[in-house]
Amino acid sequence: MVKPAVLVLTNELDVGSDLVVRVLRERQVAFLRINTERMTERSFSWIGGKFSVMTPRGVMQLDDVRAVWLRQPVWPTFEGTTAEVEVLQNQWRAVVRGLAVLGASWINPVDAGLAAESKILQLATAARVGLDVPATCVSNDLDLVRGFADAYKGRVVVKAIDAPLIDDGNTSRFVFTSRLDLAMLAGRDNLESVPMIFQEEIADKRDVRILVVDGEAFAFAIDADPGEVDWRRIGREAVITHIAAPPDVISKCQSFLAALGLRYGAFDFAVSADRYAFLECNQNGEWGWLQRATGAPVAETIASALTRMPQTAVGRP
Amino acid sequence: MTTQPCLFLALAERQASKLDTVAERYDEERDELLVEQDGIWIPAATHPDGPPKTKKADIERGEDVKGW
Repeated sequence: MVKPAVLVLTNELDVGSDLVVRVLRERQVAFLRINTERMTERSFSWIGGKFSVMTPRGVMQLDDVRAVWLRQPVWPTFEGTTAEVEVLQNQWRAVVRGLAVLGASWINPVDAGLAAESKILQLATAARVGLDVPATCVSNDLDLVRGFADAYKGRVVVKAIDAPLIDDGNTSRFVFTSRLDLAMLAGRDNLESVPMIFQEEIADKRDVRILVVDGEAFAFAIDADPGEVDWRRIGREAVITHIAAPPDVISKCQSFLAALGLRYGAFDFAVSADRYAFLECNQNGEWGWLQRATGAPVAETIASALTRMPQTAVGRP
Repeated sequence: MTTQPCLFLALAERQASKLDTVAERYDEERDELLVEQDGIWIPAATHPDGPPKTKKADIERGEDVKGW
């Protein structure tokens, strides 16, 4: 009977989990990676107060799991209507949430992670812990947006308030952060269909991502054309460097995570000559590409965080 | 009422090629990684099916934990 100490919940295409699994394996840590989109292919049960999973290596009981890495679960696909599929997937979501009874520590706790997806909560929390937050307007009211833009002499960027990727299966569209072109607002109804984030532009900035893993921080500069508002437009042409971030900024990032009950966060900053401006914190932000470019031991640090976690008395994910 | 698309959709840029570029970067990485075969983790490059291919829609999955 194999009793894993670490449980990884993700999908089979997740490179980040591959990197961490490799470290766990090298360290001979007993782990179980569940690629959730394939849960229908395995016996998965809670009986007699214990979770068990049938794997090709035999039955794994989960009572010794100390840490759960909630990485990128993807749910199984089913035949049926959209409503039917959603309900069927919800049954698996419910079982996985039931893993709360294991009493393990989670990176990140489910409820805290979901709450932290709110960019408004992120901005408010960042300000509360003392980070420099650019002036921000979230609105669907274009009159108000025009006034906000006037206050910043038209130097305002616009971005999505939630996931910006539109994927219809064949093509992808993405709402990058871009400079607000006031001409685009001409002739529009005053109330837009959806609100967006409008924010004062940080001029001549350099992008910095700070990863905080259970208290330990890694900072990276992502250098692109200084005139490019969103470096993601140029992808791999960006130059990535492992840098030292100011200790007070790191300390405030740690406070941010503590305030939201998180153990991991990927913070994005726009850094200019006189500002270290907080943009957002992705509670499940990608890091594999940063490790690859710089050799920073992020996977090792995540693996260490997962293996030093004690079981908690409170079984709340 | 205006017939223009909403600002959000007007700003959405077709990015298949850009995301493919990022996907290619991840797929290069996969050759060096381990994949599961019958419950055992083996080097991806030696897996009979080769390393799994990253879908471009997966690139931003970091934001896809919603819906729990």
